[in-house]
Amino acid sequence: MQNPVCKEDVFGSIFLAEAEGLRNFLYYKTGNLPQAEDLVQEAFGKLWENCSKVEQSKAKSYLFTVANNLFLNQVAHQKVVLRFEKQPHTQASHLTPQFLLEEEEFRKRLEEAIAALPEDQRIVFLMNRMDKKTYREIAERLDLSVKTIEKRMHKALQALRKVSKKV
Amino acid sequence: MDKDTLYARWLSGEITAEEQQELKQSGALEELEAITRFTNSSSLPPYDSKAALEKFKATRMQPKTATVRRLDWRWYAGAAASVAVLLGLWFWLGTGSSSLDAAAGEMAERTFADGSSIVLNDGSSITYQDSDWGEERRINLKGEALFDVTKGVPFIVETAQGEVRVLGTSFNVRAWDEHFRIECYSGKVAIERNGQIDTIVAGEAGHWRANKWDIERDLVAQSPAWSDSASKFNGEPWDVAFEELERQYNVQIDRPYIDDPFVGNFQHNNLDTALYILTRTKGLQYEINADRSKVSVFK
Repeated sequence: MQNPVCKEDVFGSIFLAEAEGLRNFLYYKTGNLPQAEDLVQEAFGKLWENCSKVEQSKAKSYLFTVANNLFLNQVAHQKVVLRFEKQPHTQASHLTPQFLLEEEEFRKRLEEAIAALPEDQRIVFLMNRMDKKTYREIAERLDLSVKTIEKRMHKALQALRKVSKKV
Repeated sequence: MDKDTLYARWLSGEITAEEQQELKQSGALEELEAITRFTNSSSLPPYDSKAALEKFKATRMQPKTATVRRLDWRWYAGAAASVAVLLGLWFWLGTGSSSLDAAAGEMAERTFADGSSIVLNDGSSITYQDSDWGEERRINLKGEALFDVTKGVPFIVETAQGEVRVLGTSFNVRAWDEHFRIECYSGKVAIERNGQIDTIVAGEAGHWRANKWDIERDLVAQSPAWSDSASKFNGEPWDVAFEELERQYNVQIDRPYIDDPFVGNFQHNNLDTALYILTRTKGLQYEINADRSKVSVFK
């Protein structure tokens, strides 16, 4: 019998559901957007290649595991530099120049601190904060327990607190 | 309480009133809120999932050329391949052997008296006893070759890596050093190595990995990429791809040894492009010397 993952429509829906999260996950690891997007294509290539061997329920964790392995295979690891885009303030007119300046400095420090987090913590923190994934959803993709995710999240916040203290 | 998950549970709203109070008093709350304000007002570079899927379909799911075609699963049912029967072993007897060689960068073809034909990939060679083809057709192969075998007595391809036996079919055998892979395009093929026998049918490939046959059931190609002037790899070690590139372009490549699986292909008409494909994803660089006989690959 045909494994559902090998069906083009099923595969396509997995792609649409997981590709962006996978891209972001790889971006958190690499800090390199084009590389992250290439690796997404490669990871899905592996899934397609092995579609008959991967259960549908395991497809998500398979993708993240494969993406991680592909990343490890890449010879050159660069220092991670993450760029976040700032969303415009909704009530910008009420903000003083002084506030905006301080805020800009704070953003910069926090960005640096996030990039400097140990990789495990950075990934969990950003998957939760940026991708809005619950601890359970993260655990499922990284093949870890919810408890482990919570611990990493706690540690990440602990480290970032120190930065925000200086404001 | 679980102190080591406190902040995490605060974020997901799973803390007790007592813990909440504690956070507030210690001043942690304000700082944590500043962090979440930052993340809530940040976004990542946009990603177009639909465009990415289209790209994926175009480059990895759809045929790239007429000969590299992913088979629809229904095709397998329609192709219900003719069933081959395995016969026993015969011994290599008789005299009067013939041979055929393909020089580096070239291919060689031969059609036999029974109508079967063979295309040798570059650097490969066959030898066979033409005196005794009545009871079985036996060929000794070094390297890689595409076979198109007419129906008849068993056709046996011997290699240093193992044996492939068929009645009538088309298939490709790649047998370089420790590397042994057979792709079947029609009919049914029996493959044997170290006493382990398996059979593959059209649309399947047998790949010798970690001392056993790994059967791939989603073979894309209907002929090997190299017969269409390209080399295709499906998880063979990177270094095997470099070796193939050396043979195809008749160059010597000085390179770091990479054992990782390589998935992809390169054409035989552009050395630069081929090198680019093999080095780019590994973050490697290359230099070709003036007379294009030597290449060095480095980080």
